[in-house]
Amino acid sequence: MRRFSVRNEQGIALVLTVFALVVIGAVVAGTFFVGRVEQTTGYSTVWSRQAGEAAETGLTWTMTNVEAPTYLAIPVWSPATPSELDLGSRTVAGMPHVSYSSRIRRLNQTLFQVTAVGTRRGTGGRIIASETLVQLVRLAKPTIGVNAAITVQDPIKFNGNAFSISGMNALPPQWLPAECAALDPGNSDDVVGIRSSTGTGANSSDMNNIQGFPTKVVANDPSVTSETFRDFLDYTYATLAAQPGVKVLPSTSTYNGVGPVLDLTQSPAVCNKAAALNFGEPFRNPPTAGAVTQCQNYYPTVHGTGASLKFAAGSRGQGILLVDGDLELAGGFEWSGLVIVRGQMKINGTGNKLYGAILTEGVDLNTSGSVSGNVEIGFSACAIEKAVLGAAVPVPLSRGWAQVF
Amino acid sequence: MRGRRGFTLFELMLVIGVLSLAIAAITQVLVAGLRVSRSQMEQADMQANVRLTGLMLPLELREIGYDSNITTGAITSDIEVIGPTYLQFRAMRGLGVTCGTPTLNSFRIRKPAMGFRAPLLTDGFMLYVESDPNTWLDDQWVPLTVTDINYNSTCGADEAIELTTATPVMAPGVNMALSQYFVGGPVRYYERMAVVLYTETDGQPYLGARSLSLSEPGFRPVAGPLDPGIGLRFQYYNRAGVLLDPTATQPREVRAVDIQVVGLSRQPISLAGTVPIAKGVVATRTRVALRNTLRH
Repeated sequence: MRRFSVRNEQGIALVLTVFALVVIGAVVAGTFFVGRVEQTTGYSTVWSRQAGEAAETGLTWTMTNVEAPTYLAIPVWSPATPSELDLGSRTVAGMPHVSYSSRIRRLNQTLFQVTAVGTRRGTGGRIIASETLVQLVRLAKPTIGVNAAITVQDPIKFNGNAFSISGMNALPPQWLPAECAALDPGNSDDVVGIRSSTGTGANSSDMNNIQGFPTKVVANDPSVTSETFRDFLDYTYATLAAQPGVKVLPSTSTYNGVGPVLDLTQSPAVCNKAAALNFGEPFRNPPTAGAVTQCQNYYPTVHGTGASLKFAAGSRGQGILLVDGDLELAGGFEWSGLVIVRGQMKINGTGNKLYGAILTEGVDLNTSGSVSGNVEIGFSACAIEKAVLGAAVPVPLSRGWAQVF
Repeated sequence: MRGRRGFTLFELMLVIGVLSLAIAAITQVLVAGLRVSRSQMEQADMQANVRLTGLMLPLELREIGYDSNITTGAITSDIEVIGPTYLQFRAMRGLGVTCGTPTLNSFRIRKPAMGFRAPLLTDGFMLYVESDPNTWLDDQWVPLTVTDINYNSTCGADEAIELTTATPVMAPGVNMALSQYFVGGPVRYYERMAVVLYTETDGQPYLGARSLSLSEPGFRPVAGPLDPGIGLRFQYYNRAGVLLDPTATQPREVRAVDIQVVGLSRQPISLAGTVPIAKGVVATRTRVALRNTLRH
């Protein structure tokens, strides 16, 4: 039998094996590297888009949740007074690692810059992707040329003398001076009591209950046209009535005891702006007991779409009241803001009080409007301004969207 | 050496044969592995190209907008020319907010401007003019002819960029009045760009880009190679989502752009390790809503 000694064996198997392992290892490592790079790039793309969409969500959230009065309370930004409204950070629902924050900067009296930052966080809360978007915004609001306590096209029909019509600018009763711009102790902010494109309907005895500046009434005013009741610059009557959030009162109906409504499911309770018959709180507290303070800053637009609309047995609200047909106030109705009636307006009963201004067109009807009973109508620039701002909405500017990284 | 016998011929041939088989097998594995590796790199490169195109174009296009001239009613769109494989547009490069006291020939914007980069003299500029602050119906972007840029200006104690301009023109023959302008208004600046599917000097089709503002003489490759036939396709939609014929459509009607990109690998690839016979193909399709096409 032959015996082989391994001592002098000089094969190349080991070398070949090592070489093969190195080459195969390099190929495998290269494959893994390419795969890893692809995976990382793919993840980065996904994270980047998540941050981008979060930023978009931040812009949308801000545009839909911040109301006009909040915008207007922001001072104009400057390096010396770098105040912005910081709206904080929110997590995207269902995505705990994705969040957005937003803030509003006022650029000048009318323009605002909404900035939203979307972030995608990784393990340990480290930010691994972010995107910043800007949307330039301005407020669109109806510009309603009111220069009388009552503006009409048909003469007003007066019955009795238990009424008061004043064009002297004043705050609605109980409203606090801090809510409004200062009143002019002179007459620069006062208007006439009644302004009509035809006759006012007021005789000499009625004049005792009418006040205004520079005159109590103006008849045959050519500036009062049908456009006065329909064209409000940024809005028309129709577009104002079509705004989101407008309270629609359909058909021919009578409403009793309409007042502010609280959402008691919240703690503390908040004004229930979704309630169909919540028209805000025109009363102030003090001194009116029972005033719903949570609704004192709520100025809705209410739209009566039927042929006639009637409020009876005490109702109250504030904002803009639009009525397509006729409006009848049958007693105890109190409103602060604007009342615009396309048909005729009939006021009777006692305790009707309207502060702000009334515009009634009435061109399609033959009958005249009537004012009777214990009626108080007073011009209030503050109530009008509040009502108009309540209808204002932030509008994105053309070319106002930008990615600022 | 006596007493030691060598290998027989048969033994040697047997060993050589076995070794040959082993080496052939190993080589086969190695070659296949190299092919797979190379193919994967090609594939990754191709996907990266398509991904880059799918990210870059929407980024450029989504800030596109348009505006109408209140006086003349003429609409100015940021899309200048549309075609199935060609798109010419104003690519927004930044946004500034004015500060200080302007004159009709000098506007300053706060530093830093927001966006891709600071403004260049070759950029186009637009100034947002409010006119009546009580309404946005008369607001419009007014073209601004910038003749000089001072990057070291100030607004009070703050750094600013000063734009020396010709008097802004609201409409033909109607100059802007300073009373129509409110400090704090925005200025946008843009670069006129064109993108196209074109053939590079290596004979391969690419997504090409060209800055018209910088007067670049030709297109430069951005991503590719792409499929020579269907590598880049633009489709245009109006506000109702209706597909538009680019040969019979005004650019101002476009509200969304559908971008189709089909990328090719540079070499034939085979992810199975076999002999590659065809180039790899990967496609992506993205629809971009133009965010700034709202009138207001």
